[in-house]
Amino acid sequence: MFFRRIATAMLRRARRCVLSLLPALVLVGVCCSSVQHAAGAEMPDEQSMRSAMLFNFLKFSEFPRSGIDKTRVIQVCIDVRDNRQAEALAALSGRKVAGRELRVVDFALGNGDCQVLYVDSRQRWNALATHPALRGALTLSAYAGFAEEGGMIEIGRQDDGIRFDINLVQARRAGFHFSPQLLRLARNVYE
Amino acid sequence: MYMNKRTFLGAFFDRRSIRYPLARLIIAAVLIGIGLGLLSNAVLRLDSLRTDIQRNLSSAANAAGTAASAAVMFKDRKVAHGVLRMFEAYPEVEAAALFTDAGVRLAVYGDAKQLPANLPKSASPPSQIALLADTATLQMPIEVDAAEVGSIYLQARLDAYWQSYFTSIASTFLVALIAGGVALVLAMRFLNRIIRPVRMLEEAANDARLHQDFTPRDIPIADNEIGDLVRNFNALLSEVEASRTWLQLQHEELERLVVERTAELLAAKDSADAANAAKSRFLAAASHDLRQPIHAMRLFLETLVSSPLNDEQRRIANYLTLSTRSLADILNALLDVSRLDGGQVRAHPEIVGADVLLRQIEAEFAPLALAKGLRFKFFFPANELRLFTDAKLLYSLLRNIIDNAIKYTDTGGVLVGFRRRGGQALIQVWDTGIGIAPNLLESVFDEYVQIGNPQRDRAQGLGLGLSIVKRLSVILDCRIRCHSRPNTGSRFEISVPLAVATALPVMSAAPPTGIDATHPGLPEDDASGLVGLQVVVIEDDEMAAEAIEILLSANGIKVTRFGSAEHALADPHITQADFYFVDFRLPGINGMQFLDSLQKRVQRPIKATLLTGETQLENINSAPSSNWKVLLKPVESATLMAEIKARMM
Repeated sequence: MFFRRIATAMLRRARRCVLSLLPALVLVGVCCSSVQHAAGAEMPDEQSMRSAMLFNFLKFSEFPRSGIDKTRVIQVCIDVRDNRQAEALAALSGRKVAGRELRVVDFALGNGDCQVLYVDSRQRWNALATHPALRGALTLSAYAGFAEEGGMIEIGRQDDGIRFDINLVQARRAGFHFSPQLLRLARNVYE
Repeated sequence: MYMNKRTFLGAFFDRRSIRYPLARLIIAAVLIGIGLGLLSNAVLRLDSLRTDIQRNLSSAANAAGTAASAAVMFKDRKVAHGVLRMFEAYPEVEAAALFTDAGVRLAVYGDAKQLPANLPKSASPPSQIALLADTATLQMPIEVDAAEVGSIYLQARLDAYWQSYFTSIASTFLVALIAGGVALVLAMRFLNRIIRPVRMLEEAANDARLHQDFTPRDIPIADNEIGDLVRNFNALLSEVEASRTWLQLQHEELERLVVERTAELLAAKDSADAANAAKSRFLAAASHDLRQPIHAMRLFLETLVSSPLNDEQRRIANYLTLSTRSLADILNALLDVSRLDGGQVRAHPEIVGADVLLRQIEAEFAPLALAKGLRFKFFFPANELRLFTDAKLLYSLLRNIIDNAIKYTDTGGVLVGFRRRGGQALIQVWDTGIGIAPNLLESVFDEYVQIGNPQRDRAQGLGLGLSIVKRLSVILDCRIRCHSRPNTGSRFEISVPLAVATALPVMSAAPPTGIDATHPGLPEDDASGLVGLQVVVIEDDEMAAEAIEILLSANGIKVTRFGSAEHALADPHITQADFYFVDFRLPGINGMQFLDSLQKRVQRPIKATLLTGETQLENINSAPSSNWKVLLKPVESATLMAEIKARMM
């Protein structure tokens, strides 16, 4: 009985405390949400834009059937040193393209089963270009000259906007097809 | 040929024609059909047009959205502009815009002022296109892989659609109108095919009625109800024609029979007329030939009775006188019946005082009743009773009744009464005679029916008295009734019209009647005043002339006799006679012509009397000079002497 009275008294105090602090708590919540909202309304950074473009490319791309029939997951392998880029790409995990879930993994952890590969430098592309695990994978990169060096989609910048080039020869060789809309947007298409 | 009388259009505007309501019905049906068709077509086409607009715009937007999906997704304004330029192929699209998933306008086509600057992310439902709306807008999401990546907004002008819509409606209306017109014309033609035989039937019926032409008509028919009607009509015409022909034959046969019967009747009438004429001639001849000897016989008897006779001779002479009188009466009655049946007697009504008739009756029958020991009385009203009748015929009728009353009454008496009964005078003759059995009351007026004379005693007549009464009552148009009880007596009643006009002269005395020429009741006055008188008797019948000469000579009159008028006229002293008795029927000129010639010779009025046995008095009365006094044979001597005395003294 004694402990019960003590507990009840404590609850009453706590309630009074909460009620007295409620306006302050509401004010803090509103401020936090405003800060968060203001942060969301900022222009996306380049990494996020690249990540969004990769996602969009996947939307307008037709994968070779042999490459994805084994699984209902599209595994996006990344080999980047930029953590922010890695985080932006990793944010695509779980999203779906044509009913298939994206799974973003580090190339080193990909077990050689990649349907998409994103590299951030010529050095890493040169190292992986001939990797057997990438045979039949859609390759993307943002360094200049990627499409000319055997990559399929090269994401670049031009006039304050992001542009891309497509190496259609490599893509067809790997069994990929791009929608005409996408090809129309490409700055350069290598055929 | 029938339709030529009525124009085609005129028949449809003729309100009496059956075409009028049918044409109105057809036109109304066509117009309603066209109206309903147009309305439903307009509604359906409007709905279809809205769907088409929606589909076209959706299709265009979809195509543009699909084409621009990547551009929207990658926010490539240049490419987006390029994609929107595809609307150049859609002239109705006046403005279009692509919006990003954030609602930011990415590219514009056409007039940017008509487009929103941004769009809400959620697509608005397609707006309903109102009738005659100028523009229609459409907002469609752009999706890629089932995810909305942006929106496309279209604004299109609908002028072309509405123009197409109304052109379509107008063309449909025109086609429907043409189709309706064609249907109307066809319906009218079909209607005309129905009406034309009906019209022809109507005109044929009218023609048949007016011109009596019942020959079947050549009306084109089809194997339908109208054809049945025409066939039945023609059959009816044939039957009517057959009936008319039959009736015509019957009529002609009837007319032939009528002509035959008429000819037969005319022949029979001619025959009857000839027979009647022959009978009349015979009766006239017989009358003259019978009256002459009776006339002479009575004159001889009168003279004989006047001469000195012993008792036995006088008794025989008296019997002879009675027999001769009966003979004369019977002859007169027979001739009277003959004349009455021959229609030669006609009534000439005039105003007659009842007292005149009563005096005559009293003068004639009072002596007879007295001779039989009967009372003979009169009853008449205090006021003067004036009758409107033919006095001579009525007196003859009453004479026959009263004569019968006295004849069949042995005890008691006879009463003659005149009563006023309404507008009629009721003349009653009562007697206390043998009466008439009820079963004989109807037959007493027939010829030769006598009550109480089974022995056919000719002294009591032939039974013609009441038959003469009956004939006279018909001529006088008066009603006669008989009431009688056997062994008690009889009452005869005659209704005679009363005179209503008092201005007409009242006949003072009944003139001598042609029906009755026997005046036995005149008293024989003294003839001494006639002695020395010179009388000329012209008579072709030697015996009759001799009888008159003996009678007149016995009374002291000088008589000069001639057998013919020519002999008399040849005598130079013929004009010097005081009186002339002239027979009417003479060889050569007749007695009346003689008297007319004689009158021309002398200045003074000639005193003369015609004697005749003619029954056809009109032969005398119709002559120009019918003012000569006439006595019908046989004439009693007393009458003859009274005539001379009345004229000379």
